[in-house]
Amino acid sequence: MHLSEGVLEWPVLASAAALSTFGVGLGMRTLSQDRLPTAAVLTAVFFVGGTVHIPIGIGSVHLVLTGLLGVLLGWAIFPVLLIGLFLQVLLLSFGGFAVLGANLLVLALPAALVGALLRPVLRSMMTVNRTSVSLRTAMGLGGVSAALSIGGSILLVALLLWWSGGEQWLSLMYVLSVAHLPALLIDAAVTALTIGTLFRAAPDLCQRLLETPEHV
Amino acid sequence: MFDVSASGSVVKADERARLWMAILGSVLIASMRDFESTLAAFLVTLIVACTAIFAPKMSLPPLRVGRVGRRLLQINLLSIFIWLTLPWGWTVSQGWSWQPEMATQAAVVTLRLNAIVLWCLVWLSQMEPQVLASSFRALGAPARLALLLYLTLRLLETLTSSRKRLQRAMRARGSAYSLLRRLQGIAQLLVLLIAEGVRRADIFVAALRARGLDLQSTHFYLPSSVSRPLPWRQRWTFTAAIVLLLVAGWGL
Repeated sequence: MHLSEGVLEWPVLASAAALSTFGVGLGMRTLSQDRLPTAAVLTAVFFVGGTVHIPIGIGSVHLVLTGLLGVLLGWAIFPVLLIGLFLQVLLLSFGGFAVLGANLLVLALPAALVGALLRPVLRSMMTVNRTSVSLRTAMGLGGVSAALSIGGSILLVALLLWWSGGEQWLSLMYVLSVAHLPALLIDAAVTALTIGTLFRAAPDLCQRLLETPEHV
Repeated sequence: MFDVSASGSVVKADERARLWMAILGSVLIASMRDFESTLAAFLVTLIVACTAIFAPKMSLPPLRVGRVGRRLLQINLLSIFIWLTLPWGWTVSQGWSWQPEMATQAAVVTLRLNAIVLWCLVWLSQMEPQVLASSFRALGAPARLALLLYLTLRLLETLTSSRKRLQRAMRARGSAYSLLRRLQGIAQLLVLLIAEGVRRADIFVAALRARGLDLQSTHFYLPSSVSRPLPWRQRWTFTAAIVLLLVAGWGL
């Protein structure tokens, strides 16, 4: 899911960085001091989750978890992913500094939008009686949030590549999109199961993660 | 986590300067478009990396050949995709055909990719995580963002070791038979990591408050290594390097 250094042209990089900076500013407004420890935990989980590889056929996919973070954090996913991606550049050589803004935009924007839509629904479901129906609905919402987030990220990657190189990059766009489909499916399943486990086995923790106040 | 084991030479450059050099160099190389300048940038970074590997007595942080090789191998997986797609064009009359100008573009992308990774490896190897968080703040990042990085770094080591421990335990209980069982196991692992992380973060924040540090405060603790001003010689070297980079970037 990460764009590597050197692929995008500088006007695309600069525009993506400007949009990401705006997103980080928006996210910082929702990230009160009280939410910092939880946000730090989710940043670390994003980083650690990225190192979990699931073998599929002869290859393997790693978790992206932006859908889960979008639902749990809302717009605060921008600063959280900024730190997560910064650490991935430094520790794992995923992405790079020049392309940090583009990668942040690609991963955080769809997840933040999906989170803005689905987070209030999940939060309201936590306050009513939790039945098996609401559990399945919560799992479904989790899966949908991951699928939409990663699907949105794939579209944004294609858009940035198209802006950078035009139709010459078309075949690379197709290859990258198809290569990310297994990651989308796996991430949707893992997010659904994680939301389900949080909902069923750790409702207090789920409530704490979801019910933090937002000020935007 | 960071490569701090090779202690053959003292890393003399200030961490703030190193972080800036890595970021500025990356941005500059990323802005290069033609083959000649990108090749020149790649050769320069290759020479700098070779100096760091084979002449560790110089003030550059020492690098290990194996580590550099592994990183280059990882990032060049994308280059393979690029070379398999970009230089090839399809027309109904000719079928697949090799396009030299697109091959040049693929070469530019590959050279940029490798040059930036080498450049960052040179400047950022052997940097301690806590110093990194402080450098981040010292370079002007908002206090809350630096605190988020600091808290994350404190939690990373715990969660990484917890992940390994829990995965070992799950494997021992035979949770990796089918894909569904494996995914359920991963979901449980994530919930356990979140719960463990929240518990640790609460303890950590309580310890910070007990020591008189308030999260509500905008002040952020900086170790003396990065809160002091840069020594004049490094300041001038650093300024000269930035000016050179900017002039080179302008010329390109």
